[in-house]
Amino acid sequence: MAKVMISFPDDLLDRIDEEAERRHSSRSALLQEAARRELGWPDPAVVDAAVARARQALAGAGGFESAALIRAERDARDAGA
Amino acid sequence: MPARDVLADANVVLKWFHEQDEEDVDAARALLDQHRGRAIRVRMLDLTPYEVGNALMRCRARLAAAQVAIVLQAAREICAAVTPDDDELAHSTRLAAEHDLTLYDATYAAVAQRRGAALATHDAKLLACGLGRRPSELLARD
Repeated sequence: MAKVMISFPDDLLDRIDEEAERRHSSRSALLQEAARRELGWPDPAVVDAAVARARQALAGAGGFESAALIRAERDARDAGA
Repeated sequence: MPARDVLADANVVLKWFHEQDEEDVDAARALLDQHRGRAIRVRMLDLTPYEVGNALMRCRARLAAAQVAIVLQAAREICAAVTPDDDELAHSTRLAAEHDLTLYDATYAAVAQRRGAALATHDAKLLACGLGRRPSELLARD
């Protein structure tokens, strides 16, 4: 893994470090996550975990067709319901 | 670099997580797999989590708030939500007028067009206007 030297304003670096501490993470991990999010390249492990959690959350939702469900919501919204 | 950018409609995002009685779920999930492998880059509109959440809470599904929150957080972890800029909103108004769509629906197409992305959708209105493609059609073009 490459190491890079980049410049940050002091106040921004302070905020980054505070956020990393709040997440029990590191400055490098936080900046890597932010870069992946900005580029639209999530960590595959993050994708796998997110998919697993969401599928578990919907496991008991029963049967429906998503296109029909979303269209029904859109039509209700457009009708002012 | 990803080979192609894709804007995922809310119905595609929901098919990543829900399977029972779904049509074309394999193609929607194949897009997700390509995004995971960085062959494509999938994004969603900032509107999408609200549409997914409302559909799950208010329509037939009637899911509990905690479950919906998990789904919305997962969607945001998987793909970035993009906010339309002034040019995209202006383009959206033109598409809405031209195709008799709401601004909500037209914004999906406008953002995709302006950003050079393919709009992946299962929505009959957007498909009928030729403004989006089914995930299976996008995969077949590779």
